[in-house]
Amino acid sequence: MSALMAEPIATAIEAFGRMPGIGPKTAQRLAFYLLRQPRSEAEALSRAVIELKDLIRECSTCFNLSETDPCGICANDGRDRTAVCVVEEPLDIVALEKTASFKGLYHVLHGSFSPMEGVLEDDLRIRELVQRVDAGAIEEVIVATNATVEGEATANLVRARLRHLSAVRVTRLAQGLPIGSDIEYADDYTLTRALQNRTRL
Amino acid sequence: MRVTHLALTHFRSFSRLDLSLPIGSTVIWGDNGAGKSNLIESLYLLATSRSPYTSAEREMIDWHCPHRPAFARVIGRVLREGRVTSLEVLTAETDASTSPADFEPSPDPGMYRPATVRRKVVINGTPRQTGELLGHLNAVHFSPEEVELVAGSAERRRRFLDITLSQLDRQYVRTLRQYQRVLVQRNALLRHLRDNPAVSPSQLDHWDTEAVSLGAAIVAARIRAVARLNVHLALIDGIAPAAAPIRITYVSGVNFPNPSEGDAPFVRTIDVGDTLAEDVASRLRDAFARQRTRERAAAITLVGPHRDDLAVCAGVIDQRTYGSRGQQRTAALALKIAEAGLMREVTGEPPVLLLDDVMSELDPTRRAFVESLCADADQAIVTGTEAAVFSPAFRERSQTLRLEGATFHPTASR
Repeated sequence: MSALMAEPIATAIEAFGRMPGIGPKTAQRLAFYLLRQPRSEAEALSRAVIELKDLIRECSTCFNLSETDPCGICANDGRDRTAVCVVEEPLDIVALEKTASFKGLYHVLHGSFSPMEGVLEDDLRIRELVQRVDAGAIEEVIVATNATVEGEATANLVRARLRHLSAVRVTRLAQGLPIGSDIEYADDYTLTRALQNRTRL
Repeated sequence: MRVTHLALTHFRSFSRLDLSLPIGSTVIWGDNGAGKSNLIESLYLLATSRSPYTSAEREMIDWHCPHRPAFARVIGRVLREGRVTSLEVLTAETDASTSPADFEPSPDPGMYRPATVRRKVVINGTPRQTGELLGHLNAVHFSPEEVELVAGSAERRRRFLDITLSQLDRQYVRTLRQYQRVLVQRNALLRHLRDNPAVSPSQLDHWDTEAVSLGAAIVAARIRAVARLNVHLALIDGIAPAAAPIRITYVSGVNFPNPSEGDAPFVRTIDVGDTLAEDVASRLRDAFARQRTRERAAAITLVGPHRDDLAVCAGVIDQRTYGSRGQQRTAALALKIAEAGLMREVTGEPPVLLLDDVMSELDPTRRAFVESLCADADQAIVTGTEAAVFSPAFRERSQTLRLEGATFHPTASR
């Protein structure tokens, strides 16, 4: 390919091609699109990418991505410091914050326990979570990992590592019927979980 | 239970087919390559969401389909206890934005095919998950290749049990899928543990617990199915010699309980918590503990339902090893008949029989047996290369269709 194409274009195509969800054709399209844009557009994009790297860091408490350390949530005095919600990815915090129904703190593991993808316990921020809970103030740990085989494995690993702290309540998000859906259309497995996790009226 | 109507669009050799299927037996005959097996395959697809012949789903798409992305659509109407259910399986090449551009061009532009397909299942007009297709249409499929059920690898016999159970118990499919996922993860972790001494072995605990509980649910369901299948095998008269009846035994490296027929009624996996599953779980847990050192060295999971097998015996002779080709074919047919019996027992209705080119392989006595079996079913679809393999009496009470160049010719040629 490089023989057919000027070196800088080939380099840009390769760089785009390494990004998730971008195939070789899309990478080409992006590179040629940028080539046809004014210089200011390219500068704005490269500045945005550099700032992403320079200005965003991990909060040293909860490992959420933020411009500040501690992050806005950890620094907020109005948050409930006795409850910590454990999530796989920073984007999960965005989803949970949109609900406005959780007022506690977060802890981002940065992945889920998936040996086939090379992610083991030490690649997740589990040790840091245990240290955080060990420190004392936290009374409840809500595990909000995905309802997948890997999310379930992560939840069990977190519970196992917190087992020595008997005073701390470790809970898991409930699984059941989606709001606004008909029972008739729910799949058997979800319905079974909903039955198992039924609540008193 | 029966299929009243079948509509195919760009499914293998059929660019378009609309076929009404009557109650009772339908004999489809035609030359090699006329499309008989494709028709059987489409019905099996509606029952199980998979092909009896191939694991490459894109092969189901008509090579000459003019649409992009190319697709194959199978729609069937199933009549069951007076209720009609419409089942649709759509297999389509993945969307044009990722294909065809991202795939290697082939020297002949008309020849390339993208590697992936997506699958869509629609039940009564509502899109559903693929797994929900199971249980609407129960079918038992038999073809000459099914001799591999006895002669082939253990994997083939595990699949027989798995597909039978999947049609009766959707929870079984899900359990099986989760177990396979857990197995991949556990094996990956075992490799990490072998290659890197710094990795903590306590990470195995969770995967062990999951492998035991999911594995036990699978084994318990299979053991129960084996016990019930033996009841149905014992009822078959006229397939195997009376002196050497066909019986099956669940074979495992773990010493699982082997309940006698009466003690193991069929229950769905969803009801686990029963004593058999608990017994199996505790034996599986012990086996994991015993194998721990060997597994750490081999970096692979050495016990569990993925390693088990089914012994198929005629009398005391294991047909897997000692059966002649003919005996193996007979034993495989017996297993399929027992499968149909089990389905009837559990669902209360006889499954649809899909018999692909079976008659030509059988002697006249066994042909007669298969014909009587078809007569007992609500519906049987039987294919053959010539009408002569069917008895005149059978042809008399069956609808006969002649298939030629993927088109049907209603026929009176007997």
